[in-house]
Amino acid sequence: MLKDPSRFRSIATTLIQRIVALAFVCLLVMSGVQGFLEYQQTQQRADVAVQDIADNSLPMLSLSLWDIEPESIQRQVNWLASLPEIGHVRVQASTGQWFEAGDPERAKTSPDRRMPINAPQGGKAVGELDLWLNPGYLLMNTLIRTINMVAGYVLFTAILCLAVAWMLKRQLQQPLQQIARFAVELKPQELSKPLLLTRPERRHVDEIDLVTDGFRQLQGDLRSHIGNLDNMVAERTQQLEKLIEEVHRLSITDALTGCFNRRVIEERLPSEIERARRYGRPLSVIFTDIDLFKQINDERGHAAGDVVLREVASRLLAQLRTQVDWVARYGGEEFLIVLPESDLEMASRAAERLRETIEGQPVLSEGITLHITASFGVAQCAPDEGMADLLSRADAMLYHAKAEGRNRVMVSG
Amino acid sequence: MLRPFALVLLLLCHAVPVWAQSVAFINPGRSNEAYWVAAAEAMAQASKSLGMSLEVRYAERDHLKALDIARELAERPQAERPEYVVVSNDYATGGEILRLLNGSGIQVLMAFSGIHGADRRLTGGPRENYPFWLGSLEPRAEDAGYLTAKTLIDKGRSAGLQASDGRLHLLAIAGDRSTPSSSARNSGMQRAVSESRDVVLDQLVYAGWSLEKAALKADWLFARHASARLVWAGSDQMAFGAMQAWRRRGGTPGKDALFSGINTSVQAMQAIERGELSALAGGHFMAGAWAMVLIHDHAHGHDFVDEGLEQVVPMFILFDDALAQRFLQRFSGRSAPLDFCQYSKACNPKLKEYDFNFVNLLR
Repeated sequence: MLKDPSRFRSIATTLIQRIVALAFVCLLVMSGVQGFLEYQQTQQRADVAVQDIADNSLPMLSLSLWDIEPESIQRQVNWLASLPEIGHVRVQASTGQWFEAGDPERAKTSPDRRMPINAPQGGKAVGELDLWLNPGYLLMNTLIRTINMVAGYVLFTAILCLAVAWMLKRQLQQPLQQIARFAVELKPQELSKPLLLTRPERRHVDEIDLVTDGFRQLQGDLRSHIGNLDNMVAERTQQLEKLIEEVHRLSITDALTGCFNRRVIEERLPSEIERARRYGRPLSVIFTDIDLFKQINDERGHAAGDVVLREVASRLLAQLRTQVDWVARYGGEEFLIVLPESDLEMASRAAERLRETIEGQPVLSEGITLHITASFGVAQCAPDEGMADLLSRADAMLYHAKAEGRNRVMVSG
Repeated sequence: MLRPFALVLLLLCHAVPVWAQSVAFINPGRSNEAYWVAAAEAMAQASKSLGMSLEVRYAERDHLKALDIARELAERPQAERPEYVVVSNDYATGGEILRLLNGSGIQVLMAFSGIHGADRRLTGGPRENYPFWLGSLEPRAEDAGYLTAKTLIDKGRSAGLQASDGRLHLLAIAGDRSTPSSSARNSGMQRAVSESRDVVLDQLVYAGWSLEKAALKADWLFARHASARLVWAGSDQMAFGAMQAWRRRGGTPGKDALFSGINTSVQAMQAIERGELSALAGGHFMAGAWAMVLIHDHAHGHDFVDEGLEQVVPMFILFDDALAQRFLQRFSGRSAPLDFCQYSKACNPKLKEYDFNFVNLLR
């Protein structure tokens, strides 16, 4: 199907790659923004939470300090320090004692919050509560929330990609592959084979349906186009055949007289002889030559000569049996008449008739009346006689007729 | 013939001690705890003086053990069972002990602390649900707080320990928040303060009867209330703790600050003699001994019903130097046995009302 299958990559793959790339970029941007916002929110929440914690623990601390319950104070300090938002806690009694818990490293800096602890019934402070926040908590919280968001987003993207892949496979890849296979397997002689896709029922028409319809349209157009081509070819062939026929006719016809030319003698006469011999039928030939033609040419001009030649040929053809007998211009003013199915006697009669026809009427050329005659040599084809011999015998008879005084028929006996 | 007669005589001789009532005391305290040992010794003195037999069993501050002792007494063979049992309702074991002794024929007198409040729903009052529960005899604890506070204030005033505002500043170290006698002592102290306009109670804290805790809290208190020069304590041990803290601050108890305590321990008496303790009240340990007097009289047909089944008796006295010396002589040395007969209606038919005045014994 493809020149290089390794270059193939499905649309689904490309699309999913694009989605994943886009999702990744969005993820980076979103996690950045989310992380920033989350950090701020967490900080605000932690601030509020720490304030709440402090507000809630102050009364208890106040009571414990007032009642001088060191264990209780230490318990509360420990509890405060155990809260994730709190890094370090210190309670400083106004009587000098102090209690702390948490990460002592934190306490090296000044506390994030310092609150006086007033005596339960009011009045002077009995101590001071110092709180150091836990910066790790903020980061951790932000990180966990961001990771949650990222995980959710990645999961969403994965599900989206799966859904897209599944949809594409079902809606696009499978039908497109079917269409591609159909197109590859489609043969000119099977153009009418319909494109059938196995697709689930849909309420709407989609691009695949448009492609399928386009394919059907294309198939129809191609089919009708191919039909038209056939007709045109037939027409052209006919014209060509006519042309060939004409060319052939021209190639075997003497342009001046309309008789066959000499080449036809060499093509057709041997087969006529062969046929006559095979079926045991007679075949005769007549050589004829217009008497004193050179004189006409010299005295009256070539145009007159041509008119004479055309007139003679016409009279010859008119006197012969159409379809059977044929005439060829042998050269100059000499013609060969081939008479299949004619024995010597029939040929002699025919020759005599031809001689009379030529002699009987003058030829008109540019207002001049020309009296013409012709001499005839007749020969019947003997068994086992070749064309050359036959023509030689007939020619000898023509020569003989000329010698005897022209305007006569001499038969090879 | 002589032998059966001798046997009857022997039996008669043996029968005479039947009049000497047998009493058992379920002591809630530890066998090495000064107060409860003193209480048991006072009871022993009384029983000796009144010709009764006394068996003291220590529960060692274990309320389950107190119940075990009661059960064991009830399960004894008839002849070995005591006729009376003295019980203290410490740790609210009184109701359960009454239930265990029910049907054993043993009669019960509660001393030191009776059954009050919600616990009475099951037991009722004396001689109600349990007719063998004769009654109770409790020291008037409020007296202890009042007497010591009053004395402390008086001595402070005459020693000129007023602060710059012209008033005496008092610190109070109480026992615990739940024991009725503890709060009774506190309210006695507070009554004494409210009676004296020139006295301010700066703060009251609870030290759980512990010397160490009292020392620690006093340390804070002295820092917090710099003008306080009077320290009232709910017990002698807590007073000693506060004195320790004062000494650590470079003070001299009894001179630049005055202390008061409650109890009759030897150390407390000695502290009174040395002048370190300015006020000391005691005598409630005698509640058991007074209970012996009531039992003695009950056995001899003098029921205390006409004076009330539940008696709250003022038995605290203030110890001064002289009383303390006498107390030490009387109770710690091998002095002549104390005469409890003087308090008994059976011994003195003319006596109409009991007067459990401890001072009389020390004369």
